[in-house]
Amino acid sequence: MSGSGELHESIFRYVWRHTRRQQLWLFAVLLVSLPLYYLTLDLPKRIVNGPIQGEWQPGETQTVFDFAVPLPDFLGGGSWQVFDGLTLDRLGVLVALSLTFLFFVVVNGLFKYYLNVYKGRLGERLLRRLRYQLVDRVLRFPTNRFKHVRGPEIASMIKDETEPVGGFGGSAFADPALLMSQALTALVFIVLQNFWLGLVAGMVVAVQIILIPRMRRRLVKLARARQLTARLLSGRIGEVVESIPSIRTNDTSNWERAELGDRLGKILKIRYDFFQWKFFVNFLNNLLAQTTPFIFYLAGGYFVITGRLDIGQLVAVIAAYKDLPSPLKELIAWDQYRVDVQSKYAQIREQFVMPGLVAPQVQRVSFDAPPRLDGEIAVNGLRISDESGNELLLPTTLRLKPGEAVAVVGPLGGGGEYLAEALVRLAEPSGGRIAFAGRPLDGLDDAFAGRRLGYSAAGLYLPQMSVRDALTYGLKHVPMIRQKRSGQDEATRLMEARLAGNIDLDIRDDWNDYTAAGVSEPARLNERLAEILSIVELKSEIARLGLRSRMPETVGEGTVEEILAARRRFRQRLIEGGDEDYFESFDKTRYSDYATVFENMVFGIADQEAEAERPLAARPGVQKVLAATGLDERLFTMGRQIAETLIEIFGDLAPDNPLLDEIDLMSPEEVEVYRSALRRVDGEGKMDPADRQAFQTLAFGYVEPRDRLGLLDDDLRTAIVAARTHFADGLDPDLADAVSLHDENGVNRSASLQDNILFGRIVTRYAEAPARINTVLSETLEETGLSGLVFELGLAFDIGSGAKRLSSGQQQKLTLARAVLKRPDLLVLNRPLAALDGEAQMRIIAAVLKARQTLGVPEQVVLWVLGNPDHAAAFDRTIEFREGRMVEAGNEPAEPLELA
Amino acid sequence: MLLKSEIGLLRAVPLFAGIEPQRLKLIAYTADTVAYREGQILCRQGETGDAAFVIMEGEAAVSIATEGGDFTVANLKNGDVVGEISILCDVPRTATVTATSQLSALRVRKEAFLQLVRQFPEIATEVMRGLAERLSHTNEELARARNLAAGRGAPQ
Repeated sequence: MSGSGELHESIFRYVWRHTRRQQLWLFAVLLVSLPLYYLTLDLPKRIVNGPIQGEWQPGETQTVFDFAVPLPDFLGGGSWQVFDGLTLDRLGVLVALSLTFLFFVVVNGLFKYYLNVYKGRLGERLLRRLRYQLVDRVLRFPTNRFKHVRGPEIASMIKDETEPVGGFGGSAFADPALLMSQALTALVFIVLQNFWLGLVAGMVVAVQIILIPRMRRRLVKLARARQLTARLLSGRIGEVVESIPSIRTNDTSNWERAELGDRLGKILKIRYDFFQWKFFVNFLNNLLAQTTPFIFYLAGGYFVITGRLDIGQLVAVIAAYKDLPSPLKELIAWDQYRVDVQSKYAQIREQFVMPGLVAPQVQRVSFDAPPRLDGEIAVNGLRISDESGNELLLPTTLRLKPGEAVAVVGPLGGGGEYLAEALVRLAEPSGGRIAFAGRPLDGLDDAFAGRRLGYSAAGLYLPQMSVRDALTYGLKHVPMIRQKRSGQDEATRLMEARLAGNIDLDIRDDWNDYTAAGVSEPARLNERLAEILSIVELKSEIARLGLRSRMPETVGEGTVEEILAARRRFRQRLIEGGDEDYFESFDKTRYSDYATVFENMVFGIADQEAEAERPLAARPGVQKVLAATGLDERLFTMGRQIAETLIEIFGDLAPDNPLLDEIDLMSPEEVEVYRSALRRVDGEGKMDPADRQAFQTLAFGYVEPRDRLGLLDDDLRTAIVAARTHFADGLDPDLADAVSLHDENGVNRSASLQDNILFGRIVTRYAEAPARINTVLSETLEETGLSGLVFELGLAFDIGSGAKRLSSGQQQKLTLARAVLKRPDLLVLNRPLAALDGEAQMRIIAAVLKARQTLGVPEQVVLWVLGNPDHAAAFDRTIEFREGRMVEAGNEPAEPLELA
Repeated sequence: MLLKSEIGLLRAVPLFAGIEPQRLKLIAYTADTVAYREGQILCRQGETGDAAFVIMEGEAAVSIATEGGDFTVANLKNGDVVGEISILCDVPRTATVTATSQLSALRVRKEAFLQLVRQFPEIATEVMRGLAERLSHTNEELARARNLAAGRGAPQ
């Protein structure tokens, strides 16, 4: 691993080191292709000079394709006739030679194709290797390094800047060799035809080769500047995204605009400069290349006229010269590419080669469970200082005995947090040592430190994944249960991974270390997760996420039956408890008071996003039904009445009056819109369909018990319910993505699990109804065994980028649960629950400490840095840090303090 | 219950009696109607308050927990306002209010109530008047209690 993981100083050495064999193969293929290339140059001459222009007597024939190998003297001299050739007349020779020419063109093309594909694949593998190596290095960066790097810059380096470097792998050696040999072949051919013409061509080539690359050096400098500015731009954009709260709360968006604009300006200047120079150099290059034919025509023509050159030769020279500029141009381009890639590679290398990288050995793949920590943890003279040499932790010595629970108190920055970080190797000690049962911590592999130690702190970053993956993240060290895969795909996958020096472990395998979580089989993991989530008081919140999340696509028939059974059971329970008036079930034949008019009309629910995209009232599928049922006019009138009433009540309030937020049916900005719409409609002028639809939209959102305007009578209710039949037979395409229908005998997949079980609305008029319904619902879930599904759905909940879909308290509970789940020997917790109130913290502390018994790790050492010293009561002893000094190590009479 | 009837009832409430109909509609609209069964609790002593209630229909008892057990200090009926103290001065509920019959009330949320008081001086004055009346009533009670304690007995 260590040898192949190196980034050599020179890109050529790097490419050669990893693709030696393939490069040699490329050379071999090239070598074979060269004579063929020469033949495609030679044949035109033979065709023109032979059948086309040669002196032919009528009936004369010629022998073509005769092939003889001259034999050396020791074999008797003479020659060995391999093929006697064909004897053909003039036309026959023309056809034969032309066909041969075509054949060689095709063969040449095939060679080119093969070489390109081969080179491309080589380049892609090299790119994969390089990217992998860089990622690998990021994983091995010394911890301090992360204080200085910006994520998006690293990403832009690994993703964008490596691209040309990787592509270069295929052309590093083969391209110059091929192009040079092609150019040389053409040049040699020209020289063979006529020395002077060859000399002229050679001189022009020499000027091109020497002058142009020199001029292009400037381009390389500009390209480097462009790369750096672009990288900084990615970094800055990343920062802008992260600091949106600060930008909004400080009104600095224009400062940011100016700053980014300035950067873009600089980039433009560099790019503009770049293009200008580039096109100038191209112009010069083309000019040089095109003056040569001018010489050929003039001088060559002169030679032909004076009889010193035959016309076939001139045509061949000109044809050969046509082939000269393109390899030449490419050669120059390649040189350009080389310089560019060299500078890019050097820059990338600069960022990724550094002292203090974690040795690969430390992070090696280890399938063996590391030994348990069976002894005390000794901290001797541990000292930590920051980069400028300030002492963060003065020499500290202490011992932690197996099974001990230690509270660390003291002000923020007092030193306790640094001790905690040092214990899990997140802080580099500047002196002293930490030993686990006699083994020094710095000598231990990640396999030990990452599996036997657990850590959580407030503000640990959670990438976007499901709750389940976030929880079990601490169990995924190596694939524990590997699936047997075979066949072509798997063979290719493994081969490619190895050829590019990537790790060959399969991400699709089951990486969960079930033993670490203390469960005997995968099927029991959920139970354990539930147990851990209860400890950190997150279980019911996760279940709620499950209840609120949409039904997964994959729900099987069996589950649907369970949900329907739960629906029935929920109703029974309500009746048994005498609470049926707290709830209003959906009924195909009855108006649901607590649902909106629209929901009643379609007997389903509308998707908010689709409504925002295009109002439902504006969709033909809805308009059609409104017209067919006569609801068109009635709902318009109803909307108008709503608008009139609301504007009467709220109309004289200023638009920024907070009371306007109390209107459910209208947003504060819409008040003005509806006021003018009302004026237009009252004007008895021509009715604008948009106004009509706007009023209907208002009516669609109306819920009588909430809005209490008394606009629904039984007649209208009946008419609305009657409209349902129009939707029941299938939705128009323009509604299919916006509306999902209720199904009394099935589930609505666009609705949440909760809505599917309840299948109705809570009668919110009763103050106690929501709480009571919630209770009945959870009882129903328990009884019907659906709580398993709910929990499962909760575990599948996507926590969002940076876990932003969870509150900060939930995030902290989650990272704590993750640390507890893997049952470490030492659990280091660094103010892990700062977002929770004191009482909740206290309860969770007690639960985590107690859980050591139930989770089967009574020997677990817990070191908990507390935000509030009052919580220390639950621990075996308390250590206090102030100004980097351990000032008190209470409740520990036997151990004398050794402050070094 | 519909807005119209709510407004009619509100007009009968002394607190809102002097307020013009336009504002009454605003108050009614920004409030929710809530229903309680007999024995259910509208608000509990010691909890933080987030709403004031206007009793629209039914009866409720206001009680205070004392060392000697719960002690009912008042009975509420249609039109009575309860719970505004804790949202005005951000103190925990000073008493427990229990429905003594099927009860329906208008629940004015804290933010809306404070906005109304802040924006419409006539409402603020009415609220003040209501509180002042209650205070003078309390003062009388206090004086009576003192007299009792001094052994002179209640004035006839």
